[in-house]
Amino acid sequence: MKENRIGFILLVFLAVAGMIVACTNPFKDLEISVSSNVFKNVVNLEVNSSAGTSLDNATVVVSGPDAGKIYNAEGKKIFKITGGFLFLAVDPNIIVSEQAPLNISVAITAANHLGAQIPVKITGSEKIAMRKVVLLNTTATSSEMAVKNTSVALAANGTPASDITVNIPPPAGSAESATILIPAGTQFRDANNNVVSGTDLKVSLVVPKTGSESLAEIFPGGTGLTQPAIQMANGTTSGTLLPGGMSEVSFTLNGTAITNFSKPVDLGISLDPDFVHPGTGQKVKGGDKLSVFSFSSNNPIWKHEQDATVQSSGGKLTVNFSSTHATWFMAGGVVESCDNSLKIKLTADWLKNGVTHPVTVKVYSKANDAADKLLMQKNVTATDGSELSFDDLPKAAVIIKTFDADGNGLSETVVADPCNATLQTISLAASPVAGNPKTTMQLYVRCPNQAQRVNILPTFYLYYKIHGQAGYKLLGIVTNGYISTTLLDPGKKYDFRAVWGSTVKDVNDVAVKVDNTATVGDNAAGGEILGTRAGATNLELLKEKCKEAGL
Amino acid sequence: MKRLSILSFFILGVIVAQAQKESGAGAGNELRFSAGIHAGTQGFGMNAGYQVHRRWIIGLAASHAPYGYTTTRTLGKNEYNIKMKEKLSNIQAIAGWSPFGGVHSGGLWSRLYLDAGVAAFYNMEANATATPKNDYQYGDLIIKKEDLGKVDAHVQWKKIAPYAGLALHGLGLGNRFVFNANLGTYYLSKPEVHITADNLLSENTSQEGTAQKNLENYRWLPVVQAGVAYKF
Repeated sequence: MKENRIGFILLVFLAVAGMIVACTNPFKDLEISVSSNVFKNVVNLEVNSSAGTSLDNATVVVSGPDAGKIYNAEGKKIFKITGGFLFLAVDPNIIVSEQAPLNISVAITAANHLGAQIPVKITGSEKIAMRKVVLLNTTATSSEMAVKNTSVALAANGTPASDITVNIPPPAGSAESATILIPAGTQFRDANNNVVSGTDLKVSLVVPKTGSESLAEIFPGGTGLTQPAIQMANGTTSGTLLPGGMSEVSFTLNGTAITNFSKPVDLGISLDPDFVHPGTGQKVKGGDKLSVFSFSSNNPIWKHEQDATVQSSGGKLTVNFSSTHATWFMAGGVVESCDNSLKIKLTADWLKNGVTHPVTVKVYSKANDAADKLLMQKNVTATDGSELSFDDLPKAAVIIKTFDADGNGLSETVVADPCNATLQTISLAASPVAGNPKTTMQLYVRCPNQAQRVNILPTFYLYYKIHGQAGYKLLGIVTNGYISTTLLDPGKKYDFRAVWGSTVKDVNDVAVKVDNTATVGDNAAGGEILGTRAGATNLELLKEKCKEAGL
Repeated sequence: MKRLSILSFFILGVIVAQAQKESGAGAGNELRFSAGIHAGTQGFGMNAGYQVHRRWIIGLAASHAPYGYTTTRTLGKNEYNIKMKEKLSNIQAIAGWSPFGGVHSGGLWSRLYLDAGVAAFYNMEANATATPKNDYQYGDLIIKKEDLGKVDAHVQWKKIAPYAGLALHGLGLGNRFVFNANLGTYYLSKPEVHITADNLLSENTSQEGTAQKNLENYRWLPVVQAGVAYKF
């Protein structure tokens, strides 16, 4: 009887103990990951060549007062253009605001291209700001730009034996051209003001069409025609430059870049006859006064040089002036900037429910009740309610136009007073290329030897093009592996390009469905994918990234 | 709560009636009531008992257990400080039956009872907060641990749970004081886990399924407790 009692009690003890032991470790398989999207403010520069060539080998230097706070996508100080994009991120420990913006300057230089110095102001108003930058290829003429490269033999003393005149004809369909006259005996000096000796003088002239929309992308200063700083006779101010004609003049002597001369050289810039003088509101004519500005990559700020009178001769309108340095020259006018930023809000019923669309917003000057010069533009992955702001717009009426991914106009709004700080709401018409059903794309990743999927994925940019065609377009930003869009037509085949920091992955010839879910992993039998082009390489990349993440 | 009280009194009423029927008569001038305090795995609390028959005892008890626990775990690539807090507060109605003769049979085993009852947990939740133990290095950047965020897990069970176990009732300590001991368990509902997270840890809410799976067997809440009571 006594043994029965003890046995009974032991049994109860064992049962209670068993209940406790049988419980699973509450932390089993739990993985807390830190998001790779550590950055709160990002500027993504889309860098293109005017000749369409890749600039991935370009040299990038970030400078300026806040350069120390800028990192690449991997949190490092190495800046490189990858897949046409330059990713600049603000140290997440820094708080950025409209009241405490960051100012940096991004210098991009590439072989056979005019270098660009782009001032970037980061205010925090856009978490991911996108900017387009075009570097001028100095070896390729296009319909938007004339290029002339010529060699001149100097005398043995390194000076012209007689006056040298170099003309550059206008681009097709344009009246704009330029002439430079170098007097005999002129000495050529480098950036340190040292006289350069040699006899092989190479002269390069570039004349863009100032009436072309593409001018805003290549306009020196990197902010379109609106400039945060212009050096005037009475100080520095922000303003909008309205060019009637412009030219870039550069020289090398026996391979050394020339920046200035011992004597003034004579320059003549032929004007666009349709240029509307900002002072008169009328088309430019002989006798009008225009301002001449210059911009040098050594001192990347537009500088007022002098005023000049428009000469009319043989139906051509020309501004003639002299200068002792080689650089960009522009003849035109300047309009003072607003003190306030213009803030706009995009609304669209077709962009509700998380649907995004790459929208281009362009701001034009207004002349004769129509859009005139493209002052600046921004590209935004828009959804209903997206907001963006424009700095340094002129104290004059502007016209804002929005465009979809294929360049179809979505809205046109006249803003009589862009200095008014009131939020401007712009309603977007339905895009004809966004009429497809909502397509969702969800990407999962499972590390080899792990049962669970990775729970956090990096944010990356996804571009697309119809399979076999040229030219990627931005599809949008993929957040934690997910994007939804109406840009894709289910049933068609597309090529996709994903860009994350310095990593670019292409996936081609993909038939899109309404619901596209895929898991990256090494279980092919289970339907997981590793890419069709370089599966083994991708597997190694996956293993390496998983190892880095401790998975 | 109201329904539970009604249920408890109903069960007790049935047991009392049945016990008195079995005993046929009261225990004369025996001390039937007791009031006491207890402490154990379900915290500390107070209890009251009534000896309705030499084999039957019924009681009500209230317990409260505010547990706290801090640990450090590596979850994924990084170490996290995990603070766990648990609040268990219940009111329990219980009936005990002695298989070995009951209070008047003499000997220790006669004090052994099989207990069964039900408890209303008016507090029944467990919370865990995970915060990074160290600053986080991302490339050349150091992100302060305070800025990384936190992950909160909230676990909740249903409020009503049955109880079963063994008890030693009424071991005399002298001067009407007696010693009581309990060994048993509650059988809880399946816990529901809800995870919230913020800042750079915000996407870890996806771990809710894993945590739910890990905790789904946490349905047995063992009770080991001892106490003293005064009989009157």
